[in-house]
Amino acid sequence: MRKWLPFVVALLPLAAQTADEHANRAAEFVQSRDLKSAEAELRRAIEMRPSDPTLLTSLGGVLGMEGDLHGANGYLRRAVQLDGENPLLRRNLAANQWQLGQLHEAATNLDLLLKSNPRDGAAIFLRGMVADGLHDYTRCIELLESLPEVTTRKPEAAVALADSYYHTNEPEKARAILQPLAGSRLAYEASGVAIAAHDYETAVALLSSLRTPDAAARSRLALAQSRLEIERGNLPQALAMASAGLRDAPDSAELVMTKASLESTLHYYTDAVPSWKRALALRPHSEEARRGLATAEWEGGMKPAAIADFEEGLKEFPHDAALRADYGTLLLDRGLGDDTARGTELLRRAIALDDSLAEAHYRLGNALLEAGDLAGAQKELEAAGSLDSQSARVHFALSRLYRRMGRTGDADRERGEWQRLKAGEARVASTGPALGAVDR
Amino acid sequence: MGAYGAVIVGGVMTAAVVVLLSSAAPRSDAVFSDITAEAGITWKHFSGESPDRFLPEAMGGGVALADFDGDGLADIFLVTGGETPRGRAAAPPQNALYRNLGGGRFRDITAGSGLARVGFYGMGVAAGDYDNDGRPDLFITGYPTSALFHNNGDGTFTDVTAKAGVANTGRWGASAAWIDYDRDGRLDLFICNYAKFSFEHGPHCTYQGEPTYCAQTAYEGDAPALYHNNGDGTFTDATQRAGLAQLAGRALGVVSIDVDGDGWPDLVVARDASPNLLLLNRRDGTFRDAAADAEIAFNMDGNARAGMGVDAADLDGDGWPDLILTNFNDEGHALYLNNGRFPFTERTLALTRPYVGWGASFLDYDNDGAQDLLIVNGHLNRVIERTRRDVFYREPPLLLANDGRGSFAEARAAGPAFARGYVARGLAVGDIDNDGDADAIFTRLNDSPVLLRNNVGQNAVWIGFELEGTVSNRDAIGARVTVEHDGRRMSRWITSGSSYLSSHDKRVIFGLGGSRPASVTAEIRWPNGRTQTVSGLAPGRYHRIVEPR
Repeated sequence: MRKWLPFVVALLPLAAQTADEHANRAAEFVQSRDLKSAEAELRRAIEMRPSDPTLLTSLGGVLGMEGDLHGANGYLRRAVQLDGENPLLRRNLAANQWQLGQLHEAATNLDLLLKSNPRDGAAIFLRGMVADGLHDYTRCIELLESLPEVTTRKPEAAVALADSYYHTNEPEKARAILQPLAGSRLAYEASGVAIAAHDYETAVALLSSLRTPDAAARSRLALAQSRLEIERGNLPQALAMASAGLRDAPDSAELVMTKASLESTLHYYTDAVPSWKRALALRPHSEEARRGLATAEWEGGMKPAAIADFEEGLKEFPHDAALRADYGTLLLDRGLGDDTARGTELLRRAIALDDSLAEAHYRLGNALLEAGDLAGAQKELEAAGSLDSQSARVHFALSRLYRRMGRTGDADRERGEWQRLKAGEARVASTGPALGAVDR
Repeated sequence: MGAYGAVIVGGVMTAAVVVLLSSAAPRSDAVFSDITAEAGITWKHFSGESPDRFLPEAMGGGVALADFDGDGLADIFLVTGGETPRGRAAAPPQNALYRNLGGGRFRDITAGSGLARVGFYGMGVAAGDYDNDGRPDLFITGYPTSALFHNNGDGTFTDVTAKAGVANTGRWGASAAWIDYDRDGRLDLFICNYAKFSFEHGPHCTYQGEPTYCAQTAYEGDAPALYHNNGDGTFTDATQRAGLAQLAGRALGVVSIDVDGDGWPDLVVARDASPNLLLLNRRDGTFRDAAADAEIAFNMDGNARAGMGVDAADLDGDGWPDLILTNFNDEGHALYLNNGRFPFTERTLALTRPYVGWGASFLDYDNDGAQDLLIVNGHLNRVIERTRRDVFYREPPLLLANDGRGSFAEARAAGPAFARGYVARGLAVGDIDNDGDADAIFTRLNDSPVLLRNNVGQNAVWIGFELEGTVSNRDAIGARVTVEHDGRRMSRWITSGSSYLSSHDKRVIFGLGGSRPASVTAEIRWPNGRTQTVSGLAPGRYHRIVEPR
């Protein structure tokens, strides 16, 4: 969590003018953390000297400390407009913009500062933080690593640097930086970075280090623990963790979606359906939630509801290829004979929206093969093969196709490839309970 | 009204003994009536279900319909499971032999028959006259051994396993089929061995915190066994020589039938999460697996389905035997139309998708000339309904009517039994009251079987055949009978195995619909390959035809 950096307090003058007297009183109030009184004194001072950039930036600073970043921004910008050469004023504006998420504006101001003084430590720090926010991870690492002991002096930098390390595929460095944050005020924020990088073990360690975790921390810990168990293949335990987390944070969309997804994967469809409904209530425009709900309804034997939800999704997400591909696949694969035409049409539409969907090409190709349209099947199955050459079933379908086309040599080659890939699958055979169709 | 028996040898009618058997019970409008209770069948299967959830506990037991005492009426033999380490019975589990008394009544004659207890965990049964003495013998499969019982003809059976050499020791035998694969006139024995298993080291699984049966993939598949009949009461293990030893997989169902029309019996094997097999007889004592070419080995994604039961019959009147293989829920039971060439055409029965199918049999329930389909279902997972609204632990059987072109729809007014849920497993079909239509019996896990009497088939015109091989095996397993009627050519095969763990009445019935011909001509291709034409056969009765020497 970012806090206003009180660079500006030191600027408050102690002169004996009336405006200055107000400013002096404001400084005293800041010292005693009475920000409301400080703000009132500075406003009176500005009424008297409205074009004093120092007073303006001071008020901006106090507003920032009060959490009114938007209010602060106007005063800070006006101060820079009045005295563009003052690096302190620009730095304050940049810091506020960074905290407001106006990253491009912040970057522009910080680059100006660094152009005039490449050794401006505060600007380097802020520019590094902004670079992380702008996903310019290499620049972030370059800047923050250039500041000696920055992660010790400014732990916020550790979080940004770790984020950049994760994104540049250096997770060990990220973990090394994050570990010292355990038990610190930044442990929660650091855990978010680890979760985003799917480093759930580090996230769990950070969150577990909190001495008095609040509900948000407890639910995030549950999320991290749940996802850690998913990674370990222990889905029932993952589900238990997600469910426990929801007791602390019933409105956590991430936890609800994790739970719903786990229930679907475990075939607990009658549990998954209300979970996906809850996810959809929390994220009404989530395509994933709509698709998850419709699919769980279908798999759970609630086909009319599933069709209604798929159709609703088609209207709400007219350009969503995955939704159409999933719906079309279910209609073809698990529907009745009447569903074939609709399933085929949906797959064609999915491919028109996104030609890179190997699954849609494969399903459509198989449907055309069954219908005897060998040319159409060839086009789709070969497209699927080029998009996903490691899919055993695509090679199996190509083998069937080529045999029907009289291309025996190609058919044998594809069957051989299918057998090779299938042998790899067999080595990880399921040992779970008997739930439904095998190999689904 | 039923009729039994014109005996014909060499195409010449030599005797006609007609036995009228009228059913005492009133007939229902429904296709099938559950007459289990009034028939006097009270036996219950015992699975040894335990907290360990050993997979054999969920697999059920088989049933055989055969005339064991030679009185012209199909009797019933039922196989129990057995005790497991933590699944003990109050009294020792027993198999059951019911004698058909006629009139829809049966009497338990297990005691003293020699069949009550077999000393192993029982699974399936295959009835066949392996020594050609005119009496059906019994091969009972199970774990960790199987057993062959010779029918003494006096209501007793003798365990001849040791002498015969067919114990299948250490293996988990499921369905079995009699097949004269080398056409030497003696029935050989094919056994589906399911998986490597041990009560000491079984895998254990839970579902939502409760113990449940593990998926089949937790068990390593085993190879089938083929025993060649030496003709002296002994058998020789021919598995290796026949090229079957390398075909390891979780085999559950088998039917022996001539799939490619070359006059030599082939085998279709349903396997559970292992590729199904189509073992074409190479006529030299070996088999070639052509399932991949026929495209029955896998589903269209190249994945093996959970094949359990299997049957074969000509569904579209083209003279080629088509196939049904029952599968797990969501997979659909797979129907394959054999067009006389590879690949076969798959028509998965979409309406079967919620069901876990086991026993399956083609039968012309209404004798309209088209082979319909009876499938019994039932889940493994007791808590499946917690998560699915379309899949149930207890599932109804399905009676599917064939439109004559191989398209199926649920039969109307099938009967109350088809609206009830069961945990069904084995299924055998036969004419228990000799009225010319197909009755059925299916087994249930840890429960009594359900005996279904057909109420409608006898209203149509029909003709039945019981074949007696002389040069061929006496049961004529492998024979094909073809009848032409109303411009339609109908073929029926005498098969062995088929369904799941069970054994059907070996007589064949042709439904001739509503029009009664003055006489019927039948062409019989005997198992040894010779063809015989018999004319002047009266409809409405069974004809016993003896193979000319």
